[in-house]
Amino acid sequence: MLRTSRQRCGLVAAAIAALAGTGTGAAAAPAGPTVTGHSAMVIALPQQLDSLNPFVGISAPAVQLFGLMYDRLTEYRTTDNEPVPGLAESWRHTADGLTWTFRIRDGVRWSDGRPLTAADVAFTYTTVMRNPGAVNAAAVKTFASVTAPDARTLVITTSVPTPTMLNLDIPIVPEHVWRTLDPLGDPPGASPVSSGPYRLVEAAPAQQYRLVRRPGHWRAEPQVPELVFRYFSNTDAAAQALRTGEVDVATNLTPAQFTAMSQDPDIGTNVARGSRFTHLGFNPGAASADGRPIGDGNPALRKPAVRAAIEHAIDRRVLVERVLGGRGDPGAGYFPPTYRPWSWEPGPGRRRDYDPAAADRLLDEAGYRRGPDGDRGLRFRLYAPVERAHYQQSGQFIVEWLRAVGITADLTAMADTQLGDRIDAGRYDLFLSGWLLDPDPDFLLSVHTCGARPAAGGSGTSDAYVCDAAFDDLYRRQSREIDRARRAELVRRAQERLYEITAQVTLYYPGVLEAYRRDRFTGLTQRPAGVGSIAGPWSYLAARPVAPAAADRGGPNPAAIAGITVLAVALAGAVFAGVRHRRLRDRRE
Amino acid sequence: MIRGRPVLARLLGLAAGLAGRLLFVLVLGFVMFRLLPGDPVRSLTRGRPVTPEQLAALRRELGLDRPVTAQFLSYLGDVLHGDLGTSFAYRRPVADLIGERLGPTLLLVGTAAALSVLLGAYTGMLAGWRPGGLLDRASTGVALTLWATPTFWLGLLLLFVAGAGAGPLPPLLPISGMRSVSPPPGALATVADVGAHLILPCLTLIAVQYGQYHLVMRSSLAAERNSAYLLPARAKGLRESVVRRRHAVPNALLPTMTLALINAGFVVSGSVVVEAVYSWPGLGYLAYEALQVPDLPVLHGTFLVFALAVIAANSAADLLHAVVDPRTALRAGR
Repeated sequence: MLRTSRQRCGLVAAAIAALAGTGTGAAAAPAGPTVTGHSAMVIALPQQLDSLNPFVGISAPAVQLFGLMYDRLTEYRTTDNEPVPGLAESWRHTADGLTWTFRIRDGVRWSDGRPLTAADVAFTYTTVMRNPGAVNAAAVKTFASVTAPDARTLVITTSVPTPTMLNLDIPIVPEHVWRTLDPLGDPPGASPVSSGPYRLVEAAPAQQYRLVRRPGHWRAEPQVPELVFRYFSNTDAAAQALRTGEVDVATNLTPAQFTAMSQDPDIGTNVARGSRFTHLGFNPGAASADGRPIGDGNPALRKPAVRAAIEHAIDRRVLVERVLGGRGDPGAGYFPPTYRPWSWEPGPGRRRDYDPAAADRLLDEAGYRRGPDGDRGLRFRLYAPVERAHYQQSGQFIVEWLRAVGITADLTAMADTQLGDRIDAGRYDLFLSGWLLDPDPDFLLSVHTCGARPAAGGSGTSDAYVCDAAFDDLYRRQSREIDRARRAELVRRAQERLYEITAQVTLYYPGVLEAYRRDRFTGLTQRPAGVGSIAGPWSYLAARPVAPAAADRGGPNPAAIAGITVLAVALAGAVFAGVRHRRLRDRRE
Repeated sequence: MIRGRPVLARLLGLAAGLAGRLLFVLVLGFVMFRLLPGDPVRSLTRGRPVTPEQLAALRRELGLDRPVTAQFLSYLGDVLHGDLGTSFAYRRPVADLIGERLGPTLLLVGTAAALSVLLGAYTGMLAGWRPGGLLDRASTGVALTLWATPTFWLGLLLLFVAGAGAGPLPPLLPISGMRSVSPPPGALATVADVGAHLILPCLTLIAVQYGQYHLVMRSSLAAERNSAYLLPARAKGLRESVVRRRHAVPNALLPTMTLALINAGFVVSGSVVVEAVYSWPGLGYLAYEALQVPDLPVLHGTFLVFALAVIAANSAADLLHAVVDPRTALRAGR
């Protein structure tokens, strides 16, 4: 009896050991030298990295890693996002703006020691041009040819003047590695050849990515020896790990987590402002690119007066205070005021601020008079994505405010993908959504052009079916204007036009809540200065460890784990001894 | 008349049954995930500069521009050739993705399932021998309470208490992932490292799962304890604990074993919730994330693997049942 039961225990133990073996085998071992404890900066990733292939990777984590691993033709100045020299030391363009010549930096080397030349840049851009499915294809859509007459000269010709030439954001890859690879396939190996200030040495998908510095890089001398990007599938765990010191930087925190962090003297916090906006979108008469109406939107919303009345009914300050906890800014024009030099704000006399009386007046004039029960016979569907709580909360406020001016709105929560389907089919009246800002304003203006509406049977990129000839003209002119000051003026006028036609209600510019271990790292830098995010390549390159020897990594310490293990083994031993004793006693009888 | 049929015919019948089930799973998976809302091309390009031409190119590249029947036929052909396709979001072979995540899932959910069965059967045995007694009421109360606890809530609670330290207690256990940021070198240290990361997610799963085994074991043992065949054992003068262990428990174990075997099929599908709380790199969370795109090849692949695991576990349960309880085999043969 005793023997068989012991055998059984042995089998169970063996099975567990086998499974443990499977588990540890599945995790990729670090491929390079590892620095333990203090010297590595651990950054919490709130999202999965999709691909390490620079022609494919699109997720925020991938873009962050590419920014550290690879170089680009031009970089952004940390203080104000202005384009500054990158791999290109200098550049000039012909008077017609169609031919650009870049002087490529000398002495840049790939991580395998070979020199980086203009041919690598030409190869990268040509590869993107040949693959419309590549992630940066839109950036090179006006390119006619890219050539490298010599190792330090790059010539790009375009079909039309292209002001986004200094905002290409395309990581430059080594031609000698990629020449024979499928550009849209699997990336080459776990530690790819790259030229940036950090290189990848460990890639454990869904777990973590480790980068080590390359001393003496032309962009900056990296002070932090290692960066580890560690994946967290929920922000509660990431916030907790930041407090125990398991991670050093965490972003996208909730207001409650952020407030709790603010009390901790060892944790520094930052509200990154002006990097995104949240808006109320209308169905102004959905139609495909050829003008054929689609969907079943409420026709009342085609009248600008009704849209303006809705804007007057909404109190943005309350939304910022109550929904965002004060960490954000009320919306005004289109882009946030911090988005320089592009942003435009309506003057005091033109603002459609919270004014229910004005809303009532506009609706009366538009012919929607209140009935005996105060209702105007206007009923709209309002859709809000479930993915972020602030959409739901804002939606509830908006329903109340619209009721006050005699409009009925039915709020429905749905998945973002489902909302996308609804908008594509034109089967909606109002929706809540948002956009992240790029350093260049072109794309977020393009989503309101007539051409962005879906072609018959195809897909479009329109935000909410806005189609206005005057706006289209301004958009087209800014997209061809090389002179930055003149272009900024056109961009501002385009936003003014969007405001005139009440294309959308910009509700607020939510702050992104970020925190880091102040006791371990210093020098993290906002981009743009004073308002922006501290979580990005520019900031990690500027960061420095604090007093190297003093601090030690927090979190679970090995002694505690050892103690627990000893305790558990002792407990198991005691239980086993007890059972055995009882069995022997049983057998004696 | 199974006993009379030749072995070959029996095997053929079995294979035909499996093939039928496999085809059903393939068709169901394909149809089911097409009903999900959302356009993969739209979600993959959301929030970044794209041109309508680029969208069309992407649609063509992912094969979404072809008629659904053509898509289904090529999917069927690929699966029969062992190709699960390429993920939309990760642009990597689905088989590679599943391979990466299978080990961690088996380790976590398998360990938790095995320990839940052992714990549940043991406490159920103690409780079922004296139904209504103090031990029964206390242990069944605890098991029921834990079984009714939302996994997510319990997981977060453990994460906050054990991971962050409560009051003067320092943080004791790792709360994220399967390994440390900088894992210690050496095989033994690696096992200890993974083991430490396993404790909290495993504990969460066991706490929520063991109750079902407790209840099943309790009720079946309670039914056995007054059986006539125990009378001779007691008459021999055996102690109650020996009567229980040698005579009653083997007969009462059958329902628990069946339940454990059926649940074994779900071990592969992991636990989305626990994997999400503890950032465990498992298969369940891979499938959950794929739903949001929807990443159809990953959904098809994981659904196929989950379904095959359940089919395999059920077949194993059928076979083992006959071994453990010869009466079922006899009945089938009669």
